[in-house]
Amino acid sequence: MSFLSGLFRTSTPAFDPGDEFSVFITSYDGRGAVARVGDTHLFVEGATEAHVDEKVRVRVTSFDESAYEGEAELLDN
Amino acid sequence: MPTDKQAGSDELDETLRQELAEGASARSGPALEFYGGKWMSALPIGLFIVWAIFQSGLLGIGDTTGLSIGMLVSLTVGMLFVKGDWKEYANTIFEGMTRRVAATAIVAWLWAGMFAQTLQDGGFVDGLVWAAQVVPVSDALLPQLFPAVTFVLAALLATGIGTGYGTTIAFTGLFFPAGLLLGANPVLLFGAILSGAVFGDNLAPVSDTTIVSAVTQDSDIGGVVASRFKYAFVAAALAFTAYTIMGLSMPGIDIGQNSQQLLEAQSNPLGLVHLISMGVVIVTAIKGRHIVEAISWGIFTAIAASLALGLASVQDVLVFNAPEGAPFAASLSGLPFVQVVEEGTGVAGSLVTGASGFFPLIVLTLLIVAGAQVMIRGGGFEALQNLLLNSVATNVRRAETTMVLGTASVNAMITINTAAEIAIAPYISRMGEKFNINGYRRANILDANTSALGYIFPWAGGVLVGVTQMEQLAANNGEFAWFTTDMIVNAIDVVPFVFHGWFLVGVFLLAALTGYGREYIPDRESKEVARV
Repeated sequence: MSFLSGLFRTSTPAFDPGDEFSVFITSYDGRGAVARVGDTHLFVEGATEAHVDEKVRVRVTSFDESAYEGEAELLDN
Repeated sequence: MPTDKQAGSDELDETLRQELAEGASARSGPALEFYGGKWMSALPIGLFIVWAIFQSGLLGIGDTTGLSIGMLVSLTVGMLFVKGDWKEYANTIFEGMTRRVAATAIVAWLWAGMFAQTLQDGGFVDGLVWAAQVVPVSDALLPQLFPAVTFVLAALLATGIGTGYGTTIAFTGLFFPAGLLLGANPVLLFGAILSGAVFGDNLAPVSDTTIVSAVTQDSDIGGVVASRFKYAFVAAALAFTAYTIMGLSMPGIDIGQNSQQLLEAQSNPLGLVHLISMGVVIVTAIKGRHIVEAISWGIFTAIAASLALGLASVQDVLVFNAPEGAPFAASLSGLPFVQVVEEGTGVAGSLVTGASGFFPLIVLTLLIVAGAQVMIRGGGFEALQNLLLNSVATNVRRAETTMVLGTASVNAMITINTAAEIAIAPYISRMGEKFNINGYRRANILDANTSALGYIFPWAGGVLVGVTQMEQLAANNGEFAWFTTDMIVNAIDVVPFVFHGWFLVGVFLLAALTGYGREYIPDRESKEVARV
C-alpha cells in the first residue's frame, strides 16, 4: 500500500551503491567495523576500532538485499 | 537585544544545561558501594514502592506525609547496607535533595497551586457549572460527556502552558468539583485530567520533558514535536473515544439530596471572567516567558478581576489574622488584609492555601529524588540499563521495545518525570545509536513513555499532586463544604483510567514491533541541533 510507505519502516533497510550518509559505527570484530542500521549490517572500509560509537560519514559501495548486508567506505573522520 | 522569546529560551538552555550536567556528574562521580552489589543501591526506592503499595494500594490511605515517612525509613534502612564510611551516603542524600529537576517541579506546583486556588476562590467553578448547564445537552448526558470534554480542555491547557503538573492542579481544583456537582464519575474525571496533562507534557514545545528529550537525543525541538503528532493523536483519539464510552457506561456520583440546590447556588456566569486569566497564562507561556512569570501574570489578572467584580474580597486572597494582644494588631487592623481575631491566628487566603497544600508533597519529592540519586551513585541504574542493553536488545525491534519498557521501569522508580527522563536519556541514546535509530524517534520514545508513566503509577508526582489538590478541596469549609473526604479519588483507583497515558505506551509498543514511524539516522538529519 503506497500511502503507508514511509509510515512503517522495515527493520532491515536497504541501500544503493553511491548512497552517502552519516552513521554510528556500532562494533568492530573479525570482519572489521560494522555500522548497524536496524538489523542491516554495513561493513565500513577504512574505519578502525577507534571509530566505534563515533558518528562518521560513509558512501555505500555495494549492497546485497537478500542478506541485508553491504559495504561502505569511510568518507571522513 | 534579544527578543522575549530568545531571552526565555536562553534561560531554558541555562536551566537545562545545569540539569544535564548534574545528571552526568552523578553518573560519573564517586560511587557508593553496597553489601550485596550494585543492585542493593535500589533498596531505598524499592522499599518505598513496597511501602506506597501497602499504604495506598492495600490500605487505601492517601496520606502524603505517610509516604514521606516511608521514604525516610527506606533511606535510613538503605544506609545499613553501605560499605565503608556512611558520610558518602549522607552526602548523596543531600546531593539528591538539592537537584534542580526536583526544584523545577516544586516551583510549578507552588505557583500553579496559588493560581488554581485564586481562580477557585474567585468563583471560576461557579462559572464552569453555569456554562455546563447552558450548553444544549440534556441533564442526563452532560455528566456522561463531561470527562471526555475535560480531557480535551486539559490537553489544550497543558499544551499551551507546557506543564502537566500545573494543569493537573488547575483542573483538579476547578473542573473536578464542577464535574462532581454535575454528577460525573470522579475516578473517570480524574483520569481524564491526568490524561490531558500527559498529552501536554508530551506534545508542548515548552514542556520540560519535550526539551530534555530533544536535547539529549541530539535533535531540534521543532522537528521532534512535528514528528510526535503521529503518535500523540492516535493515542488521543483512542482516549477520547474511551472517555466517551466509559462516561456513558460508568455510574456518576450523587453528592446528596440537596444537589440541585447546590448546583443552583454554585452557578454564576461572572466566574467565567477567569477564562481571561487562563488565557493570559497560555499566551504569556507561548510567547516564551518562564512558567513562573506566566502564572504570576495569571494570578495578578485573577485577583484584579475577582476584586473588580466583587467575586472575592482582599481577605479572601490574603489575610493576616493577628491575636488581640499583639503590639501593632489594633493599629494595623485598618488595613484591608489585617484582621484581629480571638482564635484562629495565622496567615490565610487563596495564596496561602494554594501553596501550603503542597508542602508535604514537596518534602516527599525531595526524599524520592534523594533515593534515586543513591541508586545512580550506587550503580543500580547502570546495572539495570546494561542488563537491558546487552542481553535483551539483540535486534532493532527488541531494542525499541526495551527502550519503551526501560523508560517505563525508571519512571516507576522516580516519581518526577523530568528527573526520570534525565536519568535514562543517556541509555536511550546509547541503545538507539547501536542500531542507528534516528534522534527524532529516540526522543519520541523517551518522552512519550516518560510523560505517560509520570501520571499513572499511584506514587507518581503527577497523580499525587492531583490527590493533594482534592485534599485541599475537602479541607475547604466555605463554598466547597459539600466536598467530603470520601470524594477524594484513591490514587490506585485511577490507574486503569489514565487512558491517554496507557494508549500512548501501547502505541509505542506497537510502533516498536511494527516499525510504525521508525526512522534511521541515514534517513534524515536533524535540521538544527539544539545548542545545549
